[in-house]
Amino acid sequence: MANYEAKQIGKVKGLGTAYEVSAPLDKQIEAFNDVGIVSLASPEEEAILRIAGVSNKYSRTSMAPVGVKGEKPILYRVSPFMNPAMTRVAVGAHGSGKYPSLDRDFYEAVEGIAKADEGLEPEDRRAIVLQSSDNFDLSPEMEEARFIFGNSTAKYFDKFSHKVIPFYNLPLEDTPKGKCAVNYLWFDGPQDGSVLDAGDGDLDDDVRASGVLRSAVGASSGISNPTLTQIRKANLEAIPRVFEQEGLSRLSDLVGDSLNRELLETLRKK
Amino acid sequence: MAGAKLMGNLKDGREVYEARGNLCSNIFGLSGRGVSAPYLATPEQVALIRLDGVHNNWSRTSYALAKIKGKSTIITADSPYMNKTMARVAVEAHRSGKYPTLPLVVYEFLEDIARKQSSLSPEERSVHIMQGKPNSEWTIVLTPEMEDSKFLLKRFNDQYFKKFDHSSINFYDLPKNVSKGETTMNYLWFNLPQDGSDLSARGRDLGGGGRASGVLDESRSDDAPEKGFSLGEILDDEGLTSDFAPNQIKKIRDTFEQKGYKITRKH
Repeated sequence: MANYEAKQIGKVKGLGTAYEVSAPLDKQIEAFNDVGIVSLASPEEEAILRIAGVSNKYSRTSMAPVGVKGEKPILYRVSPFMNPAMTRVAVGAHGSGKYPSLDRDFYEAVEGIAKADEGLEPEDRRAIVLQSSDNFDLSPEMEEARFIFGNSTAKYFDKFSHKVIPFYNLPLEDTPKGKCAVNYLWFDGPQDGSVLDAGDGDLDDDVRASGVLRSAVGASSGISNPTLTQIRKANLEAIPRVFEQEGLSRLSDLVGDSLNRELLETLRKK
Repeated sequence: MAGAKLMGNLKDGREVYEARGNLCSNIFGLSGRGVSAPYLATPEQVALIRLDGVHNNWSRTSYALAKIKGKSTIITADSPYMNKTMARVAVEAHRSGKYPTLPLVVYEFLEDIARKQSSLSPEERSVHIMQGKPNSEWTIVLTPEMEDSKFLLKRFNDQYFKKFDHSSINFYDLPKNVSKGETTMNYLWFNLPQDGSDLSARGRDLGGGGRASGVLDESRSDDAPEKGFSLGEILDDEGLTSDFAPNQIKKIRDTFEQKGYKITRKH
C-alpha cells in the first residue's frame, strides 16, 4: 500500500504554510492530519497560494456542492467529507461511479444556512444558492465568484488574466429520492482556465490537493477580518452621521448608497 | 433554544457552558460562546467538569458510535455529526425514531483505524472497538481497569470511579439487531453521577430538548467578545423564516433577547 505524506511547498505571510498530497481523499486527509491540517485548502486559500506563486497546479478543494433533483445546487464551505470517517463515504461513492449522497435533511440544513446568510456580503456567507443548475461562467463581480474566491476574487482574475472562469455544475438527475448529492469542488490550474468543476468524480484516485497549516496570525486574525459585511454596516452608520455633522444630510440620501458600494468595491480590489 | 449558559470554571480557569435544545441548538449555542469544534464536551471533559465541582448535570457528548450487524460497537472521538448540517441529519433521524446511518465503508474505515491504534494505550486512542461483552440486557458493565473505561474517561478514569464511589458504570450498547448493509451511528450520553453515571449509546433524543456541556479552551480576552448571533441565524436555528416585515423585527428581537440570545448584528 502506498505511503502518503504531505509535502511542504511554501509559506505565505499572513496565511500559513502550504502542503500538498496526491492521494485518494481518505489518505489525503490522513496525510494532512499528520502535519496538523484538518481540511483541504478552500478555493480562496488555493487562489492565495497561486497569487503568491506557491502553487500553480490543479487542486481539490474543501468546498462542497450540494443538491437535490429539481432545485438549484448550493455551494457550502463546510464539506462533511473533511471528517476522516466521512471521506470513505465519498471515496466509496466515486469508486462506484456515483456521487456521494446523504439524507435530504442535510440539503435542507445547508439551504437554511444559505437563506440565513442572504443579507451578508458573498465573501462572508457560509453557503450560497447558485444562480443556475446549468454550467455557467463566473466573472469577478458575480456573487458566486466572490463567495468562492473571497477577498482574493479581483486579484485572482487579474493575476491570471481571466475574463471569466467556467463553472461546471453538479449533475442531479440521478440523485435518489429522499437523498441529496454532495460532492467536492475541483479547481483547475490557471494555465487551464482555472475551471471550477462541481461534478468531478475522482476522489478515489491519486489526485493532488493543497492544505494550509494556518499561522498564528492567519488563524487568529483570519484573511477576511474585518468582514465586508461588518464594513458595509459600519459605513451605513458612519456615512449619514458624517454628512449630518457637516450639515449635508440631504447629500447622504443622494450619495450614501453609492458611496458605500464604491468603498466596498475599492476594498475588494485591494 | 440556543443560548448557552455559563456554568462555572474548571480549576485550570477554563469556562464551562451548557446549552439546551436539540443537537443543532447545542452546537449553535456552544459555538456562539466561542467553544470550538467538536463543541460538545468529550466524556473525559464531562468527567473533569464533575470532578472539579462545576456541575453534575447529565450531558450529551461529542463522541460518536458506529455499529454493523454481528460486530462490536466502535467509538470515535471524531464524530461526523459535530457540525450544524450533519447534526441536522442526526436530529431528523431521531425524530423519526431511527438511528442515523451511513454506508458500510464508514464502519470498515473506523475498524481499520482502531486496529492501527490498538498498540497505543487506550487513553491515547481516538478510535476504539468496545472490548467488553454485552450481557443479556445488551449492557457492558465497565470497571476502571477495562480498556473501554480508560478510552472513555482517559486520565480521569480512576479518579472518576473513586470520587463518585462507582464500582462499575453501565454502558448501554447500541441494539444487537441493527439493520444490515449499513453502519448504524449514534452519539454517547453521560448520565448523572448520582444515577450511576450510565453511558448510553442507545438514546434517540437528539431531536428533543437536551443538555450538552462544552469547554471553552482559552479564556476570552476583553477585545474578543463573545460572538453572539444575527437575527437571521437565530430564526434559522429556531426553524423560522426570516421574511418578516420591518415593524415585526423589533418585537422578534425583544422576544429572543428575553429567551437568552445575545443579538449582536442588525438583520
